[in-house]
Amino acid sequence: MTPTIALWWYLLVAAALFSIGLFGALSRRNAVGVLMGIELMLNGANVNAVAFWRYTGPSSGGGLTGMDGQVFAIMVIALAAAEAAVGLALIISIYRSQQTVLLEDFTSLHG
Amino acid sequence: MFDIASLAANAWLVPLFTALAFVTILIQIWTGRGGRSSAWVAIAGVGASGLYSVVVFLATLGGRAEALSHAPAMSRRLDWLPLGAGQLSFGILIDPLGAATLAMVGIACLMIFIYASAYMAGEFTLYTDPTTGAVDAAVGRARYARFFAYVSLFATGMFGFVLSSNLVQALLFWEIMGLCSFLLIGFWNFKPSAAQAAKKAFMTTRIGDMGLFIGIMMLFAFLGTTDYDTLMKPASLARLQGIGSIDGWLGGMLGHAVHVPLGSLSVAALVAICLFGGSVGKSAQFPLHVWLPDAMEGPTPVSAMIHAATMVSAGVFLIARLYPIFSSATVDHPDMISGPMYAVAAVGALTALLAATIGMAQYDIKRVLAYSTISQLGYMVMALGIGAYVAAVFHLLTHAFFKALLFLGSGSVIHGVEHGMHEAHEGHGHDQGHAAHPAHPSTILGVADADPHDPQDMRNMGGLGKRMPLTYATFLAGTLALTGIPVFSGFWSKDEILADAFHKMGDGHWIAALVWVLGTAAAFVTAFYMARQVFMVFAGPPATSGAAKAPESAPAMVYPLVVLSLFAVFLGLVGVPTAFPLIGAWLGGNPFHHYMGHLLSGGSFESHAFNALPALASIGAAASGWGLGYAMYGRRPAAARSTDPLASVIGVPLFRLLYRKYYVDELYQATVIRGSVALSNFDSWLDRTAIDGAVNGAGWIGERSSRVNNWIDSRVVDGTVALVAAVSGEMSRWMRWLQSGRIQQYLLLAFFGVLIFLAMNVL
Repeated sequence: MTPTIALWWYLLVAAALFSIGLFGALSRRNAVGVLMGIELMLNGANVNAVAFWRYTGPSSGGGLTGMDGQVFAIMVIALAAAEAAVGLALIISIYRSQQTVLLEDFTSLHG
Repeated sequence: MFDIASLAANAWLVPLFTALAFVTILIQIWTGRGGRSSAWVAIAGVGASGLYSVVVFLATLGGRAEALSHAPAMSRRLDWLPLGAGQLSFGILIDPLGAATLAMVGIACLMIFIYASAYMAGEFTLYTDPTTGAVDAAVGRARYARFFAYVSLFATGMFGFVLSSNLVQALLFWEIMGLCSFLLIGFWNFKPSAAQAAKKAFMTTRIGDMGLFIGIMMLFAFLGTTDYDTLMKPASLARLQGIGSIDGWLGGMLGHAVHVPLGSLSVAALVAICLFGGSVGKSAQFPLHVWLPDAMEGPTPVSAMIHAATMVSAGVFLIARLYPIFSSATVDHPDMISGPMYAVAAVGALTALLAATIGMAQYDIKRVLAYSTISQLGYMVMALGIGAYVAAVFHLLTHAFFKALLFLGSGSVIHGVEHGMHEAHEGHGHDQGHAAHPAHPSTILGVADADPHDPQDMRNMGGLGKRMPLTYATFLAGTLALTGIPVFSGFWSKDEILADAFHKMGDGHWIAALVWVLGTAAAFVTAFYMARQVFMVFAGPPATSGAAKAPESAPAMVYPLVVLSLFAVFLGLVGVPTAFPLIGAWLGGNPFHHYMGHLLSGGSFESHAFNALPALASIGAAASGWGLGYAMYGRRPAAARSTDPLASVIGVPLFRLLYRKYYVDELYQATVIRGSVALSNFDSWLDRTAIDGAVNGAGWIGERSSRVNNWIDSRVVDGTVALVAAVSGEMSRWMRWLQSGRIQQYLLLAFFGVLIFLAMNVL
């Protein structure tokens, strides 16, 4: 059974998601916003993984077997959750000490 | 059971007692407790030693000496230093010679210590604080204690030397004595003359000791041992003789024939002469006699003990101890005269006469006795040189007692005159009239006038016989013994030497003739100068107010004199020849000869038939000496004190020659001392210019090359290092802007980086 929608639509959506996320991560002043951008980039990658699995996987008669596309996606979602938790914890901790969440204030690592 | 022989086997206790006293007094000084008690400690130590030494002596009596010296206890050795095939060890050796000398030293030292405890009491008030001028009692007490520490150590040295069983051990104690002699001559080291005399004594004896040391090393090299017992075995002596002449010995070592001066002498003779060198230094024989008169700078008990009775006898004792080596060419007949003994006899005879003649023209009471000591030591040495071994040892023993007596007596006189001068000085006010004895105008050119404040100058004395009766009586006894007046001890011993010489002269030995002639002449001179001394000191009216007020000395000083005078009078009776008229047989037939007449090498001495001629000659010499002395000094003693009659008899130049001691000191000053000073100056110059120049040059070169190094280091090496640092610093400063700390910037860079990689992949 071949999907009715062509693969490049999915890839377009994934690229859009990734680009929006990248823009957010690079441009947001608020650290929480940056985190959210990162989530979008990860999810863009997820869409790619699942789409390629669906179009080139076993159901399509390709070389891949099993559920690996979906497993990749789930692994990335779990990783993103962990990342968000750690990132938020860091942000809260920094806020407690610096009273700010603006990234341009976090320059104590400058050379 | 009271076993005297086993007591004697522990004779090492004898030096131990005095050594303990020495250590105790040292502790007393260090803890600030020295003082009167130190004298008691020293007397107790030497008393115990003296008692034990008499016990040892008694144990050897009655022919037991031979058995005793072979007792197992005697051969105990304390191993000290393994050396090649041999072994240096400590041990004791007791034979008649050692035992008799030990007893003599013990008794004489005890008497002298008791005497010194009173004599040295002046120390307590001698030292004053330089700032306040008050008497510094603490220093005085410490110095008094130090004196007794020194003399105790000295007694240890002498006891140890006499008891030593080998030459190295003997040398050790010999040098302890040398050290104590140095310390005690210079005891009043604040006097430049005393410090000078101490130095002189030490360095002069060192010359002789060098010979002794070389001799010991040669013996060790040839025979592999320094043990007396082994050395004196006839087999060892034969081996020593077997080496042959010096030329042959050197030639054998070098591999080709050599001829050196005196090379035809045997090596055994060379060894003996080297060993004799030690005796010449220690016993003040010509030409090393110059230190002994100067040694009189020390306190009088020291003069008595070290420089009359004991230490100076050590040199004679050494020859006696090593006698078999001297006579090794004729082992079986020890009283034959062989090679090296000619040198010994000649040196002794020359010393005996020269020193006696110098003694005629001295004014210092102790110096007269010092020259007399040298002269008497010369007697002993020349006696050994002609094989009169027993007579020499006999004279050694009798001389020790009467010379100690004379020195202590002179000390008593000096003490008295000093007190008298002090008293006269105190009461100067009313005494002005006759205290002003003018300085005697000297009529003798080149001879110093008497210093009226010198308590030792005989010209300041006179009349002391009445002021100090006990001192006078004992001094007279000692003088009669020294001058060889019959019955007194010196007569018997001196007469035995001269009789032996006379006997050998009959056998045709020219050296014995020399010894007899010079010895008899010296006996005459001895009697003369001793008569001069007695008359100048004790007879006539007092020459100064000091002599007029001199009191008799303290009992602790006088009673030792009495004890010693008993020995001086009676000791000779043990050695009266059997054939002597009237008393010879009655006195046991010369027991001393029977006791002493055996050697370690096994030979023994026979006593000669009594000959009246030498005895009469020596009595005649002594009597005429006394007679001449009385004629010149005894009849008008006051006049004799102001103008020495001897000068008018023998002429002023000759008198001056004697007064200046044959100019030997001046000769040494001009040659040896000036020479070594010049050599030192040259060395110093060489050191300052050549050696220092080389050292400074090396330093200069080092400094210059260091400067070059420094330039290279600071410019090249440091420059390189600084350049590296500067480059990395600049780069870092330039790279800093990348590290802005802004996360989003990093992220952007990372993104562009990924893009670039992707682009590179695609293109």
